[in-house]
Amino acid sequence: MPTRTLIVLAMLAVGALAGCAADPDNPDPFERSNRAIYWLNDSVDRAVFQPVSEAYVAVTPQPVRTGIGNAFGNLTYPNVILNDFLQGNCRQGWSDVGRMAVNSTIGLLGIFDVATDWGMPAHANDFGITLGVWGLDAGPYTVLPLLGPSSSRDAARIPVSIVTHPLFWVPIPCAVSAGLRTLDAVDTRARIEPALQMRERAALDPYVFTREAYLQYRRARVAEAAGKPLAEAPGLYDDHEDDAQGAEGDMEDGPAVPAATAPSPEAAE
Amino acid sequence: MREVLTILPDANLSPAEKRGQVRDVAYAHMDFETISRLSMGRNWRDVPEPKRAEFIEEFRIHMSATYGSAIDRYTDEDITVTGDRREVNGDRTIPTVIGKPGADRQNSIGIDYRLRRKGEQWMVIDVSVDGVSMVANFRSQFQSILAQGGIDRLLALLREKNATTRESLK
Repeated sequence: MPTRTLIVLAMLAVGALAGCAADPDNPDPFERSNRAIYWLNDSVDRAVFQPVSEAYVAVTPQPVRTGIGNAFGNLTYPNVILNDFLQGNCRQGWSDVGRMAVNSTIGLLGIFDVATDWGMPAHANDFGITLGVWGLDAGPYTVLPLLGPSSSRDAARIPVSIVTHPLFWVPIPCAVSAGLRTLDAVDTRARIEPALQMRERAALDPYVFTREAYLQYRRARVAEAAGKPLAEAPGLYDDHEDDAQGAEGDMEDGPAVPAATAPSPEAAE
Repeated sequence: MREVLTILPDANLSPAEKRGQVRDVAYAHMDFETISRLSMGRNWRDVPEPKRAEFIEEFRIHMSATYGSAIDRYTDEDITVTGDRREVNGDRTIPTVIGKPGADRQNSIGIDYRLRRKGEQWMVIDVSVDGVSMVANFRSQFQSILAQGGIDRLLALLREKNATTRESLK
């Protein structure tokens, strides 16, 4: 099947990109072009997606939006389930199989989330997390046009989520599937509005804020899926109160004093 | 934590009163000086003494305004303390989960409080939301801003941001 070949090729290309992630100290070697794409995405969002999302929220009552979100969420489960099993989380995988089965039928094509009450709660997963569980680092941070924050590793989740999506396989007219995809996108955009408002208030440099939040969040989800404790960033909690020595004022502290020997700022010297 | 939980659900309090009371609790339990230093990392020693106090104050206002606005959205979520972990450097981490009563993992948020002893008291030095550390995020932002325009640029940005937030809260 040609599509399958294409996908494999795309994934190999992404893998090659991830493989050349050279500098572990700089998560964002393409900052200049990333910032340009970020700026572009932000402009398009302000001009198009945000107003559309606001209009959607204005004309659609909350229960309807919940149903729409549930239904589209349900369609991501083949992808979720595939990645559960690829990560070796069989228990989670079967729970998600049950969830999808229950919600697709009794939940009327996923509109009603019955499964949560039946002990099969919602769960998110994707191929980027799988690659992370398999030991691949995020690689360079990458802002994708329209899709937003990603990394060279996480970009691989896009082709996988496309081919595992039921709308990719169901023979419906192109116009209908385009309409459904648009609705999905608008609904998703509306649901991240609070997070974007939070960023508006909290961020001094919104680009860096987004990058850090994205990379940290993904690291945490990979650790969670792998069942490992989240490793803290080296040097993050070292206090430089009266630090006189040290390197050229860069943010990384390197393999500094073993943290255990530095219980207080005074002793850290 | 407990104090905050008695304030938030109180229907007799206006959003502004809640914000005020939670802020008082936060001010008593958060070590803003340490948070400021950690967020600046090695850049801290390049900040001249008089500007340090100013930075701590502006940063404190920024943090409380930012996170204070989250208080208005509180409805009836449960907050559960799920552990108490000793870190290698002597800090403590208190993991909590906040969500609607009976919510599953997907619909709840994990908030970890990192504490460090200051004198007799354990003070909060970082808050991580679903694995995203506030200190780490600010450190990267500060690093980027300092590289472009130094401490004066950073202070100007903080002041500007705080003025906007004050406007919007009126």
